[in-house]
Amino acid sequence: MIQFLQANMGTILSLLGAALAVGLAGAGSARGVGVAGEAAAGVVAEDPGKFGKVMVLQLLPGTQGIYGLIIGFITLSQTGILGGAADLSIAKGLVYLCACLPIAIAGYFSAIAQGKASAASIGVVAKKPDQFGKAMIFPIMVETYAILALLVSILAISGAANVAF
Amino acid sequence: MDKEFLNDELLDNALLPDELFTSQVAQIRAKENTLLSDQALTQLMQCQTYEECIQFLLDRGWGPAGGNTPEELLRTEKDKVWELMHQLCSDKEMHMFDIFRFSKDYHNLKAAIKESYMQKEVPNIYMDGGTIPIETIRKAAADGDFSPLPVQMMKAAEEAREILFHTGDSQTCDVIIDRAALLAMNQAGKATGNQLLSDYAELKCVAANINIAIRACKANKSIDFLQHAFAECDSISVQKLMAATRNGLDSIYEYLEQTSYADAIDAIKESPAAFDRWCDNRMMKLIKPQKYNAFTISPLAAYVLAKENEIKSVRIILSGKVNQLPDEKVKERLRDSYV
Repeated sequence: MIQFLQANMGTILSLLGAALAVGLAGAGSARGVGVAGEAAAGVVAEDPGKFGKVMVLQLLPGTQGIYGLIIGFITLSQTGILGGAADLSIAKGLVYLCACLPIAIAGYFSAIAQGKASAASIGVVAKKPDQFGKAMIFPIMVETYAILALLVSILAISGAANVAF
Repeated sequence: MDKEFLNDELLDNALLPDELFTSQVAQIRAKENTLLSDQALTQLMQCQTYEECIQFLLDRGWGPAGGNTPEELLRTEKDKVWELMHQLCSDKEMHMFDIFRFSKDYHNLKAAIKESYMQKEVPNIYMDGGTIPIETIRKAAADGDFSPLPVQMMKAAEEAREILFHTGDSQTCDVIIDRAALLAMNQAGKATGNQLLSDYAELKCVAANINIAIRACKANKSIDFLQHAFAECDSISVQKLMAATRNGLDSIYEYLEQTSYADAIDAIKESPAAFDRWCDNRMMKLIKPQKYNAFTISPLAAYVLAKENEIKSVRIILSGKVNQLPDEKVKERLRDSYV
């Protein structure tokens, strides 16, 4: 067992990074979309004509899950896990794990926060449908931080491929 | 405040877990579009006849169409609010709204005690919509055994019944029960752990105390009566208000000037109706921030109060039309709307 871990620790760490990126960002999105979905359902119960508008707002917190998936996919691809030829040092595996953390952490928390902002914006659309454009801006502001985290994760993974350990 | 005034059932059900009420609040946001704005109330007032008023309300989704008397129409709207709340909230969550219904229970208690004292049935004196079945209260009053009622209600009922049956003093009987109702509401408001409900109960208590002070001062009531009548609350000192009441109206105004209710003075000086209007407008001011709150049960509670306020305004307008009052007189009595 110890020998197995010593031989594959690098790969395990990079896989853990990919799992966290997809898992945490996805869990955050699920919660965010869930909260926004509750609000959307509440509005549609009273006014089904607003379905289109509230659905767009509900979907906004779903992007973090996609960002996590992108990072997870790139990590699996770069480390060779997808091709079945992964052979990483512990240090390199750790680098990949660290590279995945920004989107995992920021993705999780920003998706939940965005879900709440979307729910509040759905309330705006319920009362003033003509203010849909403005209402969308508030949850989109939260997206900024998920995009920054995605950017850093992509840069870190790209850089990790060129680092010699 | 005495702990025994706490409604045990409400305390058990209070402090709900961190419920966001996201879906319910969104549904209420959509419902708020149907509330009558100040502009809509002005339009209603401008209707030439009573029939036009009814048609205006029907067009705005009020009541079922056809054969509506004003009372039916207003009652239907009240019922609709509670039906909606029952749809949106679980039974446990509905207990949060009990403080809106306590006054009906205590009104029924007064009616039942007086009915048993007079030993004859009086029609249409009970109010539906309380937290305790009317029959339970009636039976308790008839038997003289108030143990089936909540503790705080039981103690007040026993005291009030004894006074009424021994002295025939129905005013003191009313005062004891009214005070118990205020204390129960105030305590229950705090027990909910919800700031809006707590502030609502506090405001109701303060308004009642000011009302008592003004009336008692004009009627030159004894200190003993005042001690029975005033209900303790946090934002005004009952002791100071009592002392001011003994010293006259100007002392009451002087004391209120030092509190956050100084703006009530002008309304009190104007007329009792103006003070009632001040109370309702102050309530609207209290709940208006809930229009921007996307979570918690508070926007639901605010909607219930907003709808009650709207029904009150419509009642004033319809009464004005039926009694052919000038629009200016009706407008003076209209409350601020929530939307």
